[in-house]
Amino acid sequence: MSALTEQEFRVKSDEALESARRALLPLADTEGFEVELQNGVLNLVFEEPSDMKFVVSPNAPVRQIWVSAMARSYKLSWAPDSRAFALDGETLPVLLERLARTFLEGS
Amino acid sequence: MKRFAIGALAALLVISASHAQTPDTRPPRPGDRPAANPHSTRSVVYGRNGMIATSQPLASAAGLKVLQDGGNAIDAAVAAAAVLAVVEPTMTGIGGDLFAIIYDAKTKTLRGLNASGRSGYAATPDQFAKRSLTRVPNTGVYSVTVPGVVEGWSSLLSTYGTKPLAQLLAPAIGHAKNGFAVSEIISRQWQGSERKLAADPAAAKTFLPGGHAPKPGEVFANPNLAATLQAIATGGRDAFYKGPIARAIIADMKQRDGLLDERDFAEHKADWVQPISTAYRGYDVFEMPPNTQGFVTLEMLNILEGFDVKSLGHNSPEYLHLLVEAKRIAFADRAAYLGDPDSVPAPVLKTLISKDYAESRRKEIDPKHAAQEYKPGAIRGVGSSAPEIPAWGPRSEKEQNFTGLDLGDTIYMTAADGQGNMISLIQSLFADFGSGLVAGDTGIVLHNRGASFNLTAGHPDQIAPHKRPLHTLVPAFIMKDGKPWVSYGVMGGDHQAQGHTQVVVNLIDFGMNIQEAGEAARVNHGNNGLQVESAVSEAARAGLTDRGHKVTVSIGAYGGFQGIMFDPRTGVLMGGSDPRKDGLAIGW
Repeated sequence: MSALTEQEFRVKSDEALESARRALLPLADTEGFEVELQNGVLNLVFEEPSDMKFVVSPNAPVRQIWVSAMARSYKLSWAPDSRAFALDGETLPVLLERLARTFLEGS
Repeated sequence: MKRFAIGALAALLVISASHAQTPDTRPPRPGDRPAANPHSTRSVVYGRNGMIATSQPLASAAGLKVLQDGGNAIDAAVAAAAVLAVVEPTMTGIGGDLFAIIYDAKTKTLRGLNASGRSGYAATPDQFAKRSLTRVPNTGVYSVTVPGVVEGWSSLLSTYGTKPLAQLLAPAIGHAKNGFAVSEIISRQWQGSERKLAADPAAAKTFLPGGHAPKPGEVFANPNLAATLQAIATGGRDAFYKGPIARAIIADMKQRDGLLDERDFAEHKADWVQPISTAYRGYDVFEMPPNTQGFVTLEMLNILEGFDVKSLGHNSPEYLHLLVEAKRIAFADRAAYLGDPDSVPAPVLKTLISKDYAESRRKEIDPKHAAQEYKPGAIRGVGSSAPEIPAWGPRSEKEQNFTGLDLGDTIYMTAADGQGNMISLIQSLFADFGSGLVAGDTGIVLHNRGASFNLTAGHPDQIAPHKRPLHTLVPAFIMKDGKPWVSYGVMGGDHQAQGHTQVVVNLIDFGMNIQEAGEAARVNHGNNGLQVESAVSEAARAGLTDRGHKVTVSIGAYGGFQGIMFDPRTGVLMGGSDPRKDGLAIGW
């Protein structure tokens, strides 16, 4: 468990969402999906190969960033060593890019 | 009179034309459907991407939106359950308890969540004796246990959810803050609770605007509850169990001489458990283990499996007699053996749901006569010195039922997503408006689940500190060949186990679709005798009376069903929703 205060979490999760947005833009341009950061929530909106939305939300009470993608959840906690939100060593931009590629190639 | 005659004739014609059954004398129905499902008033709802069935359109709509926004079945269920906690305040709320069964498509496993709360550490039998209480009261502060709903939502989401609680609570907060139009069935219940609400100033202030229960269509808001839900959205489950909400509830209860303390809230947690099951004619029926009455359905099904129910005919007197006698046997066992999970030894539970045990109990049923009474079965406990019959002795049949105490009380709902996840969820205040108490200015109605504890020394359900009470609440699930088939439930206190059994028999023995199975006329046995719906034929009623049952036709005693069926071959989801409720199934 991380020991972030709520204020620290809010600052770090905002930064994480913004940097994930920037990291995904090149892939979004090539593959033709939208990346929107609105009201503190990051959305990846696909129209191809089918309508799909990935939603990335900070969850302040549990100090995690939750990714909702293809009816599955990915819960990223603050990893003090790598100074990033991560799940099983995978950071937010890496995870999102992997999930986006899986979806684009998959169905 | 003339209209009745024409209607009855029309019904007769249709039934005799399409089904060679005995003529039906049921009263005219609202309208005859051009479809081959005589037991339902509407069609099955079909979808391929997601489905939700609840007792309120507002809740189904909230869940549908979550599904369409990419959330999974568990996210949708939490959003809908939260809306129900606002728009069905008679039935459920965050002052109540929750249970759920989840089918996780990724791991292909079923898991159960027991989010029921416990008694306070201070709740010793002595405390009740000291107050000259000979039983745990049905209402008021001594009937309150720690509410488990919020922890239930939080546990569901932290394990399976994809969306934060804050997002999923938004529709519920909106309805509580801005007001919603009260539905027909809820308004009726609400009106029946006016006296109970009027007895508590905070309850009256919150739930009797202008001194009365809202009429159907009247707009009702609960801004205090909106603020409380907002605090949970911001602070998570800890806001409820360790923060300002816990403090507000405890302060209120202390003023009323209540037995709950900060430690009781702070230590509350939901438990993941393995659902219990039995095979019924090749299908695996799953229910929750103690402290719920889940085993009762399994025991009833095991008893019924020994009879050729299908050939007896749906709602024939022969079938209904066997159903009722099976219920009476299983309820005698419930009264003797059920309580907190730690109070029900594993061998006892294993025996109660075993085929051998059912066979021995089945022999007690006389197909022609209702028994005077049934005793609990003799089960050897753990160790050779354990008595065969529980030391506290069998209880009278009247004491085995919760008739009257279990009115109103509960929501059942279910959701499924396009990835194959399904959730069967139940959430309740026990009685209408629970204990009848609203905690300060939280807008929360506190439940009265502690009323199902007893004060019998040595009984598994005897009141004791930090203990879970016997629970009528139970969600259910059916698997076929290791694949999910039906997620379903029937709310309604003591009716739940009876309703579950009737739905399973409707689906499996009588081949009904998911709408018909939940809608077909049901019966309910309790301290008011054998209640039947008007569509149970006169011939069946006469046959039951001949067998010694005290039969009455009544409405409102048959709970409420919701269900989703999955076809593994096509991936199609099928939703059904009980017209005894205000709600609907919807999917796409």
